[in-house]
Amino acid sequence: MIEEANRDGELLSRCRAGDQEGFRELVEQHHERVYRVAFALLGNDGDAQEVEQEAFVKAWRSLDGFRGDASIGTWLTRIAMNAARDHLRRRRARGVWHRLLELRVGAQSSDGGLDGLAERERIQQAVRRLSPPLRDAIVLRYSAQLSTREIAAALGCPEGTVKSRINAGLAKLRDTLEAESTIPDQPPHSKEVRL
Amino acid sequence: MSTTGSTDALDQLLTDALSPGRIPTAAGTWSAVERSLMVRRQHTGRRALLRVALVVGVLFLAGAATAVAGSADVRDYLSGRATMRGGQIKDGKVASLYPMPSFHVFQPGRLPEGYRLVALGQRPEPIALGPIALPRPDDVMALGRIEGEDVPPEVVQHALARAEHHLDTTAGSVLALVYVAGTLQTLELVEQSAGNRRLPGGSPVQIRGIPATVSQRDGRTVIAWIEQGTLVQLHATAGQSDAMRIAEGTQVSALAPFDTTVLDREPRGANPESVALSERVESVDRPSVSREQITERCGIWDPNLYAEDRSPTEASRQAFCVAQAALGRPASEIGGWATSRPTWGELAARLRLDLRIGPPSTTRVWSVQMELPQSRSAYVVVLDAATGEPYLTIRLRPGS
Repeated sequence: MIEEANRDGELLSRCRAGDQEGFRELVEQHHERVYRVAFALLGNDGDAQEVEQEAFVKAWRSLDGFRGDASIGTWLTRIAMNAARDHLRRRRARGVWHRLLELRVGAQSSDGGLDGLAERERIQQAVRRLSPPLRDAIVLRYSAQLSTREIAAALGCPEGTVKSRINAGLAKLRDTLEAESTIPDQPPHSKEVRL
Repeated sequence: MSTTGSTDALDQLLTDALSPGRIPTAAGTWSAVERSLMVRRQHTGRRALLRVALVVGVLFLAGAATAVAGSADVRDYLSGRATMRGGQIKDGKVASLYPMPSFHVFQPGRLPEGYRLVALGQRPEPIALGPIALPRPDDVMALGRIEGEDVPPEVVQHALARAEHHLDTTAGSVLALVYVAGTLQTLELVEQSAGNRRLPGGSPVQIRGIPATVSQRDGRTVIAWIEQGTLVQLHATAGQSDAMRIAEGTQVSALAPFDTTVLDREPRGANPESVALSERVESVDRPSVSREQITERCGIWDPNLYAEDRSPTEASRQAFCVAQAALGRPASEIGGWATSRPTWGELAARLRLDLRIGPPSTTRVWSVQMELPQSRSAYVVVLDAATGEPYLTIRLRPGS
């Protein structure tokens, strides 16, 4: 942890001094997390890449405003979440062109890991219908794959709140998806949710 | 299905459904971010205008609402006109400029055989707003067509580069005129208020009996002199004797006041050599370019650029980039381009197109007109001003 903080501090100093090479290192270290957050909130590769890029540009422009009260990763997560929300707002005004594009990209991104695009889309839709606090917690857990502590830092709330939001989100999702028979019947063994 | 029993399955389902199929590579991400940072840097840099006029004639830029303010300078600033450029080129000479330079402008009395004015760069005087002086953006423009003939794109690019070079290497307000013969022979006049400036170093010579210096820089002959309060520097690929003759032949030009109301109007009439756009429309298509391709090439569309910079100029460049991407033709084929920012209703009326093929009529759009000399064709690309979405590509017949 201390090592990470030191590394973050050193990188930040270089970036603030205008060292673009330092910023490249920062991007390379955190791009996966930022992309995952964006993808989870937007649901397609094209938008996620655009928001990922936008988030890093915003980060570069607001380096001086980063107070260091969270890790760089957490700070970038917040920026990515805000950028994704802005993107969603803009997307609503974009009309048919965007929707067609989204469908096409969605089709391309189907990887066959689930039964198909429709099932994957149904689960994503169910997540998007959650209230924002529950959705954000679920998304950060399952898409960005952040720990409870990291989610708490990103959302600015206690870890206990994160746990309860994830449990509540899972319960709602279970209700929705069970009604559509998405969850397989009778898993081979029981297991507690790891939070 | 038991609640605890389904948790593991739900975990897996969510992980599968919410995880991206693939993660972009770090190198790819950085490449996109770096490109975007470069675009932003250009937006905030002092270079704020680069455009290629389609023809000799009135040079125009988009209009702006008239603001009410006490002084003309403040009014210009508030209205956005402070960042606008205008002017007229007649018979190969600058006849008027907006803003008017604060110094006398010298131009060749008679150009050597084969030379023609191709590019112009200007950094106007800053605007005095109370105790502060607000710099106006630099302006670099080139002529894509001269006297009915297309200027080869490589000549346009070379002339633009030379004009930009002079703005980059000259402090203070400056005017750079670039004349080109063939492809690489240039004659460049760089002029600014003499003020307290001294002649650059070099061998002493005289121009019209006025002390001058001559030197060699970057493979060019450079002659400098101060006349009527203007420091004039002539950079020529020609040898010293030819350059001296050209310098001797320069004259002060009495520039006419520029009618700035043209800046508030649609650019109709700005192209005296062409027929009406509506008569040039040949076909209308919908672009097939994806947003990913556009972002890859031009960075993220910034809808606020037009307002943030109080200048349509960088926004014009952004629109031009997207239009190029929508057109899918190499940049080298594009000889000249110009932009305007009407509503779709206004543009459809100008082009006599069916309103229904575009967005709602009140939607603000960018109209980017590009001339492709090699194929003797031209296009208008229509973009949504808010999103950068390319709506239409309209192929035009040759204009002259």
